[in-house]
Amino acid sequence: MIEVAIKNFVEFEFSKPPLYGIQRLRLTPKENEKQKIITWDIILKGARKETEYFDHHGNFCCLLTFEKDIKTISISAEGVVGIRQTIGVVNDLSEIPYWLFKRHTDLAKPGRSIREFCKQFSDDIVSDLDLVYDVAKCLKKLLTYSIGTTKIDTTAEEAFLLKTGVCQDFSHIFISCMRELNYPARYVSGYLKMNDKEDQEATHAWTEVYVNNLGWVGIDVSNNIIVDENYIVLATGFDYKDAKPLHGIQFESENNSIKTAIKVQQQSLRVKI
Amino acid sequence: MSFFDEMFADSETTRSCYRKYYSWLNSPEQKNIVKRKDEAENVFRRTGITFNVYSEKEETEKLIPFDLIPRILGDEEWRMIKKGVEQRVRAINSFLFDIYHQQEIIKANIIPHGLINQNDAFLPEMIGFTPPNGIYTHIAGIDLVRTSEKEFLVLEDNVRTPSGVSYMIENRETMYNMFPELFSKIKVRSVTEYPSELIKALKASHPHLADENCTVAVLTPGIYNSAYFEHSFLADQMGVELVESQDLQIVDGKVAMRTTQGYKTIDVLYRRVDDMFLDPLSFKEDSRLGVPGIMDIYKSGSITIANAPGTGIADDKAIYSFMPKIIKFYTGQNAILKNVETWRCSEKDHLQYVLQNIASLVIKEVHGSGGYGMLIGPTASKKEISIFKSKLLRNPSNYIAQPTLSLSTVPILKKSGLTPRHVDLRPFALVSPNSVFVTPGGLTRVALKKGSLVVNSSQGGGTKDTWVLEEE
Repeated sequence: MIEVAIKNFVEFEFSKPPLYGIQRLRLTPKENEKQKIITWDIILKGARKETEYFDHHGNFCCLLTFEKDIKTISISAEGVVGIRQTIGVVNDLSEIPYWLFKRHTDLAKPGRSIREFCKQFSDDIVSDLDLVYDVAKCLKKLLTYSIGTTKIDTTAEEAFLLKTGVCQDFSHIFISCMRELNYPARYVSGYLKMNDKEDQEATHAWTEVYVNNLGWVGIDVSNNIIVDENYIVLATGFDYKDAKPLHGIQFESENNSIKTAIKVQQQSLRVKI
Repeated sequence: MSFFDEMFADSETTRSCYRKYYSWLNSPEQKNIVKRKDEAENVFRRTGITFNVYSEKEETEKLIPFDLIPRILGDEEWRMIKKGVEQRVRAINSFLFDIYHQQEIIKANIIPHGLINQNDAFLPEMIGFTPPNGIYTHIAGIDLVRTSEKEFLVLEDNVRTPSGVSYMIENRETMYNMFPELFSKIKVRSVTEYPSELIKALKASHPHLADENCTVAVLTPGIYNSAYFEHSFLADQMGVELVESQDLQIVDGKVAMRTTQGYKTIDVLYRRVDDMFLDPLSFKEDSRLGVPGIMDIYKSGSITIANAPGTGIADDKAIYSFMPKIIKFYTGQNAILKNVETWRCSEKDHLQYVLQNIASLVIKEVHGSGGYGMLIGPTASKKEISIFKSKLLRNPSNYIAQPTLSLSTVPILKKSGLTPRHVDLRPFALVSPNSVFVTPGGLTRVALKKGSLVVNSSQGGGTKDTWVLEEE
């Protein structure tokens, strides 16, 4: 098992404090057979924790409200997660039936071009796993990673037409294709540990596809396809909307800016004897 | 087509439950009853019962016409209805629990999962979560029509935020006011304790344990909502606060309302805001009618929301057609109240049948309500039929079809005397942890136009006081 230390720092700045602010955090790694929390804390400044619970995907959520009359609010989610080396397949205990992960969602709904793209795969006689990798590889070749070309609410079809986007768009496109091909698929938000870069600007996003008799297979179209022990899952959802690490509303605030600083580093390698 | 008239068995015979009333009506003292119609309207205007009709340019306040002739049900026929409503409401709650947990009914191949999967009323947020005390539908309104002496059919289940109960109560109050002597002559079961039964049921569904001191509030979308009068009426009758979105916030891990003494925790929220508007953090992000974070508090177990979010999956018109099977599956019994035969246009052979027989059928939108967007074959013009046919072909799964029913009639009072009009009945059921209460009677809606089968108030329908006679 490897241990990864993570610190995810988010700061909200307002020139005029909001009358009321509320945030739902999914900033606690999801525990499963692949990853366990060793320590984890959410430290709030200028905000208070209202409640905690597991949502329908089994994500640990924390609801917080902003303190009154405060211009700077910070959230730090930090701790150590133990990751087992696996082949990138997980099973979890959510009660959501697999067929519900075939339901198209607003952000990952296929349009004409995605449906057209999917046609080349439907007649192939290959194993499920081969098909999943085929689609992923094909998309990876087709899409160019580029920041600033898409927005937070860009849909799968829109990004597919542009042939560009960021990890969120790539995951939505891939989810859209897999559902179109009748596979359950879900969105994953989390962290990617990189050997050359401890400091990161944003959380990462990738995809899991359910393959019969195997489990949820992790696929990262933005990188090297295979999801290995360098990936730490925060939350899963039908699409970005219900796997968002932060989701909130502010009333009557002015000039807010959000700063994010993420550090992901390997601590040690534990060898089981 | 002949219709079952509830007052007259034939031109000479009055049905037994109407006999006392009819002889009172024919007494010399009641000779001028027609002239008292305006009096009823004045009572209503004073109490302020009005009703907004959607899709009119200016939302004008309208009075739902009230007819002075009561609709009367005998003790025996009522007992059958009551049993049937109870059975149905229990089955609906079992269905909702199952569909949001293990989904045994899908595994047993009784309901196709596509019906759930494609349904926007199904809320994944509710999966794996059990509402306080396992109750989903605290308040249900079951729409019934009568087609013969013995047969009452369920036309529609309403388990989201059923409305109309305020009319039931005000209709009775009006009758008490106008004809006090009638109620000493004829023993009619009371409906006016509905608000006290409602508050009892709501308090009993407290998230932790039944606590007499728990705080209940009614959440309304606001004064522009067509049922605002009812929201304020019920809050007032129950002696609880009527609140709107801007009155509520998350405070100390609870939903709380602003009061003159600061924020006060709400334990049970009777919300008359639709699911999609309930929590902008979970559903429609631009909703200004809900409470951001209320779903988080709900899922932490700190508030009861009545009715539970996601109940709409049980009263959808496509699910409706499976209701007899749903009742059988969860209760092991046959449905006491039968369904109206229904063709699901999503199924090829059903669609074929519907297209061939459209002139004799009623076609409804799966998600429609209020009598909007429907086609009544027998009274539709050729042009209307051809427009509807192309709608059906374009999006068949959006429609269901039913035979044109011979709804029973009850006379209304016209200047010329009594004249029969078609009616339906919406009894209201309240679900508590250990019991189901069905208010004796309910709301009778009456189509005021001659021959019309549409009773919806938005389509020119009126209401009647509904009497259930005490056991002789």
